[in-house]
Amino acid sequence: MKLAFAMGDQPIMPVELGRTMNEELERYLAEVASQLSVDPTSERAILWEIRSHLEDAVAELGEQGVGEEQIWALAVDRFGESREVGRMLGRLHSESANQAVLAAFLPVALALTFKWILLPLLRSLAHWQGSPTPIIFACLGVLALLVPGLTLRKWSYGYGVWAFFSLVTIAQL
Amino acid sequence: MERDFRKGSSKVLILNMLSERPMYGYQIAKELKRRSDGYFSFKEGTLYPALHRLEKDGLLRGEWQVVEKGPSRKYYHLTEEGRKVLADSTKEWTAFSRRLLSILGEHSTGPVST
Repeated sequence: MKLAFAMGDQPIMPVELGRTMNEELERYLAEVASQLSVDPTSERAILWEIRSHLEDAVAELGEQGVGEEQIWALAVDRFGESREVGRMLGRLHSESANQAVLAAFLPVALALTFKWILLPLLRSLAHWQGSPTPIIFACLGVLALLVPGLTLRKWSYGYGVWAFFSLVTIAQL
Repeated sequence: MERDFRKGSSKVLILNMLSERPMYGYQIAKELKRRSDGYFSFKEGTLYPALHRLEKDGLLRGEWQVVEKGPSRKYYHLTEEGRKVLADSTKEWTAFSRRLLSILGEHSTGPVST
């Protein structure tokens, strides 16, 4: 595996990571991943960031003349225990997943409000009878569906849930 | 200090580092250690939850940069909001440490060792 170490304006110095150390790195990343429980895109990004940090650390320790057999242990000692790091990151990123699920529920909540509260209310007014209400409600429903998509920047995790609730919403209209 | 890194001073330290130039995680960890002579040493892994939290709060903006030779890295940029928060936090920490030192100075018999 090709590695590079760059700090400030220093030139990038590619180094080779030993086979054993590479296995250690993969094992470490797998242990972090086991605690994450986030969507695949976020997981890839998080693991890549940790990977490059550890690779930098290993490269630098190598340059400092630390013995091959001590490098990995030292790098991990500085970085912290894999599962603990994974747990901390998992906790942080699951918060946004919960928000996404909550936001995804919004359309169905709005649709039900329209159907069971607003619609009967409007129908009780004589001039609304026979008017093109389904079209109006369809438009309102579509607008409601757009709300979570517009307000949440990192939406990847909620897509599935959003699609599900959207179908429920449309079925309700 | 290790566990405390996530709280308290970590936020203002990270924002301060990034007010000069965008940096990636490893650089931030290294710079923090270097500038504090190792006083602010912490498990480097705890830096990432802190960075991601600041990114979520809109104080930092992460950007992946592909380096020609070597792996791509996530550089953290300070946002306008981050700049405001940094200014406020700097004021607060300055006031806090001044007060603390003045109180410690009143009662101490000798110089406060660090």
